[in-house]
Amino acid sequence: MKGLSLSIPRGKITVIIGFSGAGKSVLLKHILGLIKPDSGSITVLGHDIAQLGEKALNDLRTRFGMLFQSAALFDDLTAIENVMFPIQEFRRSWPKGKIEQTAGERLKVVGLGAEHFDKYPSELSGGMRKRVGLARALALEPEIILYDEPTTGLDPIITEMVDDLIVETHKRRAGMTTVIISHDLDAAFKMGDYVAMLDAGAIRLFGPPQDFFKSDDPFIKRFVAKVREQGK
Amino acid sequence: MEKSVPSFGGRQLLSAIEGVGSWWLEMILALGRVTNFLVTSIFWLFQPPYRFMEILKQIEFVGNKSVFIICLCSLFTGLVFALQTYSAFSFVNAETMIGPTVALTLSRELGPVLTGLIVTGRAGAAMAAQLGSMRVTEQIDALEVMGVNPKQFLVMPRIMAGVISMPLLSAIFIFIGNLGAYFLSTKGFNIDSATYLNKINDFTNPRDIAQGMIKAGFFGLIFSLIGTYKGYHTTNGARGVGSATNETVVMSSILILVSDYFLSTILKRLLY
Repeated sequence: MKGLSLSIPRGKITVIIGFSGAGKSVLLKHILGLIKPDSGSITVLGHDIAQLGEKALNDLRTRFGMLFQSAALFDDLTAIENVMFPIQEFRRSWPKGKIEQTAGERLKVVGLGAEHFDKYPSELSGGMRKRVGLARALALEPEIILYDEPTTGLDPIITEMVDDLIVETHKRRAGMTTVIISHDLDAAFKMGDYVAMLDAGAIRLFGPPQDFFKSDDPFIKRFVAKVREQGK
Repeated sequence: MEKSVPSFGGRQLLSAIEGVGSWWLEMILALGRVTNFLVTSIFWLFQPPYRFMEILKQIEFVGNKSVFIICLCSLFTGLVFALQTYSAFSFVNAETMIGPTVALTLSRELGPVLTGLIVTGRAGAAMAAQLGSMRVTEQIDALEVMGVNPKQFLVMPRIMAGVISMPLLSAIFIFIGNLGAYFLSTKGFNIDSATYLNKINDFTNPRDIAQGMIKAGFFGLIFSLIGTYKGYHTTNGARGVGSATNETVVMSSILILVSDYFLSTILKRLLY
């Protein structure tokens, strides 16, 4: 990334789009503090990520939730244990019953039936795994939730279901900031309050979806034409 | 001024020197990376939240679940050792020396080395495979993003389990191996039981056991460190997991055998 400047609005859905290799995942890793920038700064919730020590960074990360592309569920834990894991780690004073109840509630919120709670990730379908991943990301009621290509590899029906789930989750948690990394242009314009277009490691355009349709930039025009083509 | 160009032979010599130099440099860098990995992992042992339950879980996996295979292997090692030494010692009427020979060799060398090789194949390979698959399926990234230190949660407990379990497993190996040799010698070769035990008492020393225990702990560190390091740094999906597992077994086995000689030399000076 070079010369990237982006301010993500609090409490809104921002979708970061771009072609493969544009730097979307690298940007996400910078936001999470998994990669430190060579120069410049990244301020998240008032903290300069690059300046934080390991402990302070870990504390800050408890205010994030993240849904990975592959859901990244712990395969030796059941669905409910996966959701209980972050609660057990960071709410150590809570009794086990309360932890289990909270995890169950989170799973129900994302639409997973109680009959699936004790299943291992290998016994769940792709859509169900995403739901469990989302419930785990929401376990500690984060202020920021990040989605890394949430619908990659899913069929169109499950894709729509996951997209709806993301929007519903955002609406339900007032004040939560949602950041989605996606290459699904159609969904990006439908879901996003703001869209950031990443090209060659820099932001090409940032604004509400309608700004993209008004843009004279040939690169953006080509992009928008693709979206319209998909919409037909 | 014109620069002198080395001849064909000179160029070959230069590139050979360069090759050796870069190999050494790579070795030193790799050693530095592994040492850094070990130090940062052990650092997290002393930081809250303390992971005693994780360490116990890993001890159960490395130690408890290896007991059966260790008993089986040690029993037959003791039996075959007694059988072969009897064949040799009976030529010189020194059958009563089977006991101390087996006891000394098992406690100083065979116990820790064979336990190390067996547990490397069982637990070291499993460590590399587990962490490797967690890495390629983003489970380690998920831990990190949640604010849970993966070295503290995954690596440190496994290294501790390797170091703690190995001396215990090695002690079991030595005991069962000696038991097998004792029964074959006294029941199969009709050596007097009291003589057999007295000879062991005469020729062996608690320092022999101590040597074996120290070696076992060190071998535990070798396979658990290599297994976790290789697993933690796995890339290239399923193929990478396979390579990490394979490299763990090969490297750990070689290092256990090589370091055994140097450890024997050092411990001989320190303990005797």
